[in-house]
Amino acid sequence: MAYKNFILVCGGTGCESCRSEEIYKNLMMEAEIQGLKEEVQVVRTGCFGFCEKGPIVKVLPQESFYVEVKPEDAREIIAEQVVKGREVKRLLYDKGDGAAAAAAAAAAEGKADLRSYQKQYRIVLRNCGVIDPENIDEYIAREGYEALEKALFEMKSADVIAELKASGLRGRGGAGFPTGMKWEFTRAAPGTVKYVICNADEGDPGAYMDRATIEGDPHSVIEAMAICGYTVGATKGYVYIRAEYPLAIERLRIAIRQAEEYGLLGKDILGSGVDFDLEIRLGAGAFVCGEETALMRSLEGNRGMPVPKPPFPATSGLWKKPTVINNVETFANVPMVILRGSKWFTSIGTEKSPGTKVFALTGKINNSGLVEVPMGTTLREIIFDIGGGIRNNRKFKGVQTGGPSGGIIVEKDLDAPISYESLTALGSMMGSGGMIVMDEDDCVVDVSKFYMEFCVDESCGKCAPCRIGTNQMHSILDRMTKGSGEPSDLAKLEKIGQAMTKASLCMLGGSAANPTLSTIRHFREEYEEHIRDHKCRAGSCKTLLRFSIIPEKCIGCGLCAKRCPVQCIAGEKKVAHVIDQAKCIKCGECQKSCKFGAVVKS
Amino acid sequence: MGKMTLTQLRKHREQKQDDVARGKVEGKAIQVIIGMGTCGIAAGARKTYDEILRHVEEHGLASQVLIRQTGCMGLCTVEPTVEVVMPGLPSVIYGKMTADSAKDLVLKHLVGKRLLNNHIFDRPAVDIIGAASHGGAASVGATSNSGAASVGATSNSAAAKGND
Ligand SMILES: Cc1cc2nc3c(=O)[nH]c(=O)nc-3n(C[C@H](O)[C@H](O)[C@H](O)COP(=O)(O)O)c2cc1C
Repeated sequence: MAYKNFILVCGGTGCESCRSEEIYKNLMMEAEIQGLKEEVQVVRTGCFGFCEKGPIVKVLPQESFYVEVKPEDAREIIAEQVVKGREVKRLLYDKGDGAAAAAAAAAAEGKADLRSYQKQYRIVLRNCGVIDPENIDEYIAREGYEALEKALFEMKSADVIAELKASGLRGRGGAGFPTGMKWEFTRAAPGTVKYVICNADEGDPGAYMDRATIEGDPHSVIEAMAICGYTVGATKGYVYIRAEYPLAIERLRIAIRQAEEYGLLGKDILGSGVDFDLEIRLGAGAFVCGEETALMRSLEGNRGMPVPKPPFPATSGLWKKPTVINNVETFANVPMVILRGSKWFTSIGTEKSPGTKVFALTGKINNSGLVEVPMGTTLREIIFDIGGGIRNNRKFKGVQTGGPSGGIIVEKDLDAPISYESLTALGSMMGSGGMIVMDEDDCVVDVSKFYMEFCVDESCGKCAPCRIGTNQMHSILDRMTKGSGEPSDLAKLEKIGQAMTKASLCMLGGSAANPTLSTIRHFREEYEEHIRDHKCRAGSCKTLLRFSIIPEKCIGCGLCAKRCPVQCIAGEKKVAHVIDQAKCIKCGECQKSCKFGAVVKS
Repeated sequence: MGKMTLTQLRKHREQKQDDVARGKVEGKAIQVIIGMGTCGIAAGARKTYDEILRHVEEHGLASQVLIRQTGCMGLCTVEPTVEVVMPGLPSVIYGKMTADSAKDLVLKHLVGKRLLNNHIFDRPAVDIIGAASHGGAASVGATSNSGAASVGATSNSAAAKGND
């Protein structure tokens, strides 16, 4: 018994609510009626992440992707596709049969074909989840090390730089500096000893793009670093990676060893006369060591603290030698830019921010995970289409990009196309790719306090604005969440924040105030409520919560009193109970246990 | 294989691509590919791996089935993920494949040639390696239902293009 067709019916919550179950049943019934039970298997699936066009039905092996399918379409799908082998055109996402033609046309012009229904486009993650990262042959079979071949044997170093500059590739570590220019400055810097560094420190809480890239495709980074070495004239490279990433480190080690065995690293690579060695250096996991100057001090064996720029690493970096330092994701793009060319790369993304960006989508979102989208995709598409919307049908409040250095983006700005410029204009930043979604149960004051606490812990202490400023802001935020905020506090936060932003030595302090300042801008009234009314509308600042019992609703069953871990609820049997506010620890157990809705939170 | 010259590397690549195109990796026609990034492992991918291996052996399929690992596909909420590539079935990605789903996978999918209910997830994006380098969708001549086996290269292009 072998089926000829498989019909997949999306069973995600979005599709289910629009009758996917009925579609599933109808398809089964039609297959039976039309005598095709042995020919076709109907399968329920997980969420396909294209919810706004649901319900989704996909037919294999043809890969026909049907959208907004209705239960009454089942007959036609079976009769046409399974019996006659013809797609039901009117239901297709891509209604014209131009898909193949468009792909061919794009390929002929050297451009990317972006017409898929999938909103993701994977350059950086091209091999993640596809190859075995511990087997170099699988990387090689998928155009691996072809870009290195091309660079070494067909391009002069100036050509590589010209291609990179034309591609408009910008640093994915946060600041977005043009990569081609960085390499050009380093190449032009005087001196014979130069270095290449890959920044895999990834300290932004909630971000794990770089870890996943190295775990899934370590050779893409190795190949790019070798290309960089050749281009700028460096024979030595380091990957600086945090020790908390043991699996990534292990896979990187294996990959480096395999590349050395094949002669893709080391002396006289592929007989080209070019040498390049790569070593791994482990970081101890300090956020500040992701900052490039601090990272290099750490690599040298010193305490990881930033130094003022200029001089920039391109002229005076590691051991004062000209150095290229790029982020993992930046490097992972390079082989594809070299191989496919800048024309292909610039056909993806926006004019000033070409290519894609990888985001780690987390928080109150249904489909959390790693996503890679062309620049120019909107936040709404990421959160509601790919991410499948907010968990438990709660209301969207905001999304934090750029982690502790970034800011919150709110509902009204969700349709802005993502680029370095647009996110900065919205008062946040691209950052390295953390994207944390918040709903109405998240308190902005509490979230700001969390990020500020992180910055207090991670500040290296070298410069006063950051060392003292983060502490001051944290103590103000802390007292607000505890009901002791003062009327002048908002102005103080803004003043200290502005001072830190201007005067800090590095961008740790220079951007530490961002989450606070941006939430004050968008949610000023929530801050004021905390200060004036001692009220947290999200219900997450525990000290400000108050649980009480409505006497009319309480039947005096005593269940809450039994559940209360601090025994602060008292009352006679069958008489309304009372909570002793002085003893209450606001754990909410009483409210959970009450069957009569008599316990209220305010 | 020791240090290579340019010509040797190119030949080596061609040979690996040929293996892929012929649909056999290490001489085996069926591949079960398990997502073993940190997220997959945290969700129990190692146990899933062991259980699938055990059932494959118990059903005498060890000579036909290659169990491989791969990195994170990005579907972190539905880890562990497992992709199955075999002749006669389209290749699919299963999510939420904890160890107790291993038996179903072997019995229903590998032996019974049926897809499992409630576990299939869509591939997040088209494969740029398969598609662009071969001048777009049409070319990678898939024999319709062969579900072209792969070291990746074709597993994805099977998803990226139509049937035949
Ligand atoms: C506090 C702080 C932490 C940083 N952490 C990282 C990091 O973890 N990874 C990273 O690539 N860049 C990080 N950066 C940015 C680097 O300083 C630098 O801009 C980047 O490595 C350059 O690479 P790119 O041009 O490829 O983005 C950090 C910057 C600051 C100020």
